[in-house]
Amino acid sequence: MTRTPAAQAVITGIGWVGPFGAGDSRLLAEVLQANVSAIQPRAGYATTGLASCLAAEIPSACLPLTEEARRWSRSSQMTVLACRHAVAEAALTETTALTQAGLVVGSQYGDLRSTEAFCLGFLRKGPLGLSPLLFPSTVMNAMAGTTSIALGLQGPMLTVNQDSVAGELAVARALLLLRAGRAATVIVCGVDELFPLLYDTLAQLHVLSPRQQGDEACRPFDQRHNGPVLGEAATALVLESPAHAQARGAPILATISGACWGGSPTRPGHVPSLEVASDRIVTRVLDEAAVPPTAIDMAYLSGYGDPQHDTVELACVARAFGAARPLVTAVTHLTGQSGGLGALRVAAAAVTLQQGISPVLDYLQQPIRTDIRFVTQPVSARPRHILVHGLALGGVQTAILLSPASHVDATAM
Amino acid sequence: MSERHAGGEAHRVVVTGMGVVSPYGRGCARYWAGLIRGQCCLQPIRLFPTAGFRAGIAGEVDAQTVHALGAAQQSRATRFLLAAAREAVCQARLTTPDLATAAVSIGGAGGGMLEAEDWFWARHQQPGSRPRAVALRTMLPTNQTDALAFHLGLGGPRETPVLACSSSAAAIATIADLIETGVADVGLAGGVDTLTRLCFMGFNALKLLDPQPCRPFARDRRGMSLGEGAAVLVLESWQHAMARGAPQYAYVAGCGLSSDAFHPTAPPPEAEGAVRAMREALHRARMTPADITYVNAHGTGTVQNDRAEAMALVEVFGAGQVLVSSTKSLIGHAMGAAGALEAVATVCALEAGRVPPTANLVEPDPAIPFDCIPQQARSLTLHGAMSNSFGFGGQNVSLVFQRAARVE
Amino acid sequence: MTQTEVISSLKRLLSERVRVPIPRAQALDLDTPLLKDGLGLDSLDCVELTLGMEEEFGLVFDESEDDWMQHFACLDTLSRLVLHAKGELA
Repeated sequence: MTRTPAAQAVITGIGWVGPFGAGDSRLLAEVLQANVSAIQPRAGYATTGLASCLAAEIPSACLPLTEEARRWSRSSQMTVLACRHAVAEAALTETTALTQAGLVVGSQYGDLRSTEAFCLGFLRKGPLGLSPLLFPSTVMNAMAGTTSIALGLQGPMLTVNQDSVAGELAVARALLLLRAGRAATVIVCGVDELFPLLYDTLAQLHVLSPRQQGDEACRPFDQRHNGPVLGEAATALVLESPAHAQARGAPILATISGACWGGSPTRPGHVPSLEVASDRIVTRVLDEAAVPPTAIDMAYLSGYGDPQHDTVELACVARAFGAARPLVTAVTHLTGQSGGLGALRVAAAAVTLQQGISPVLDYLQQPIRTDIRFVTQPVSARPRHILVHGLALGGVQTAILLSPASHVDATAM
Repeated sequence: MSERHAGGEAHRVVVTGMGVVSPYGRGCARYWAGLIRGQCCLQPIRLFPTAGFRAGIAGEVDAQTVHALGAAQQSRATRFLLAAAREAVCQARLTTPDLATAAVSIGGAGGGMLEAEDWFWARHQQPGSRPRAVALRTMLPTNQTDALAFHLGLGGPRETPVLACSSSAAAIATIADLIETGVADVGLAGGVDTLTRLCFMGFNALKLLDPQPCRPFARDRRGMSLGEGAAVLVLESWQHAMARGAPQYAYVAGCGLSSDAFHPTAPPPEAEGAVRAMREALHRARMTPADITYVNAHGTGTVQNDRAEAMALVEVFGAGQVLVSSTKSLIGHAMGAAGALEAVATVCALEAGRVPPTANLVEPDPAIPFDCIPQQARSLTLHGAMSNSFGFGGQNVSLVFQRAARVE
Repeated sequence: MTQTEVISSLKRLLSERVRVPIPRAQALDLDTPLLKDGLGLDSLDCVELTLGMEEEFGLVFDESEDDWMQHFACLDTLSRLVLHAKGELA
């Protein structure tokens, strides 16, 4: 297979609507610096009587139903708000470049809240109980559709659906759009929201912490890990071709030097086994970006918090890097787990490269592997390169390599 | 407009296999034969009760076909998809090593929603019952793609694009781009959707369905008809196909993607987004409008869509300059699977030198200045053809196909 | 049913079905434009509203008639549509 140089892109804006409120890269930097978790008892827990009650929810004040958002579902509001922050940070608001921009949204559950409401309308009142207004939101592309209308985006628009790594896949898909010359700017948004039916059902199925034993908590890579704790967020990134960003003098937060995505054939809904899961994706992204493993100082992992998942993910990384293993960190202890969270991991990695701040796994008492170093103290130096790794139930794997803004000048386009 | 990545001849994208599950039954041959016969599949829905709703017909895959697909423990969507994919892979003569690195992109809107509805309905209509939540495991569209990757051993890039009606057309664009940029040599592109109560109720509530079989491009058209099915195409780089002596059915010459940024369900009056998508597809194919003889239209049969689509076609091709037909008139609108089903029809048309008709077209709309091939298929030599999908939310995908130089 | 009663129901439907904030809906005059140049309702809102009216008033509307959207110009025209369908207008 012929190899072509890995497409590069630059990140010029970040937007985030999550448990810490709404903002751009400055909000993210503050949250990483403070390293305080947003996980707490879910609003309304007392009535549910389930084993799980923790979550990281978006504060209700963040999502006002303004006149403009009259028909927008909550997940669409999250997406529009996050994208607006990212676009503003990238200084693209109301520009021609924005009109031509592409949009890729990644989500695991989409707008299931609207689907539930729509079906309930029928179950309660028959055909007259249906809401035509709600129906377009029952297909997962609604968030992207609403955002494209709100921001006036006329370029290629896609929504990609995947467990856990929807955010990373959206980034990888955006890079393919840039590489194929379909757009010079692509807005990416990973989004997933929480709502009672989803939370309660997953809790009843014992998918969430505490799965079998122990207390309920989010402790990725710790021996006490016993399942994920859910959160909700929409994280947006503005990705541009380096030439386009440089030509307009855009603020460059970080560079993406490579993105690989693939899968190991795995029973759907299951973590890939140690034998099947592979280091191939990581190896390939390093190869394509021509960056040696020794230069990767840090890796953001999925940090799902489930024993099997954590074990397999660490094994992939350990195999790929051999002796030269990066420091491992994650964001889930701060934000909870959600399907589109990978976009936040990429954003956080950009902030880390830019400012040297990274999440600290301060809960980590007994790591499940002692041959991997974790970020348990604030880092003292800025990493040279950061790998963002994602592993999903069902076997999809992603590896995105981030480099400092200065890396753009060092590499030919 | 951005410049196309110069992949060169080696990376030209060729279709080397196809598989279909449709209301005509299992298999691409049955599908094509049904289309060419002009046999309309739109019948009263049997899959779930339709009482109380104005429109109750669809292109439904009959129970006998479904039963014969096997894998009864899987969701309806997974069963359709596996059957279509296996046929495509078999036709392309792909081997296990080919599949191990093959990319896969399967579009879908509803996923396994039908089974999830069974669960949800049971909870509400039988309080105290405890329906098995295993039904929820296949609910999301990604589950079908994951199941396919598992059963066929697919290890390359994996994607589930959800663009409503344009989902599987976008899947074809993804695989084509992966091949053209040298990331993959082989990929499976397709889509699947089943009838669901959700879709049925929703389009009824929006009053977009014709209680009678839809009549795209007709003067008195009154709306769309629903459908279901699955289609998978094996796409390959020309170099890889030649090296292993694979059959070559057509080239995917170019794909165009654009957004309307206008309205959740209605197209903009001048259909500018659709025009841009078509022009981009032609540009990337290095073809001109004159190179296209036939357009497989989105053609849902709603008053608005057909009018807007016709305007866009006039803008790109000129009035009367292409033949146009809507295969949705024959099998209904299969939502996420529509793009791939229509791509297969377009490839078959190129290969066979015949174009499928628009069914139920007795009195064409005089405001639509195209020969929409009423009722009867037509034979003619085709070198270039286009297939369009214009999805809810304003997502436009246009695919240009070219007859392959060498067909096995 | 009087026009006032119909309008009161329509205002409530505007909030319940089409999510117009209650104060805004209540403040609408008989002739405030509801569509593009006024409240900003579009075709999708009107489909929703029609279903709401069918449920509320026990009616069935034929939206395929020409100039159907004209009925939604303001509360006056919309209420007349309802009253006419109920046989309470000449």
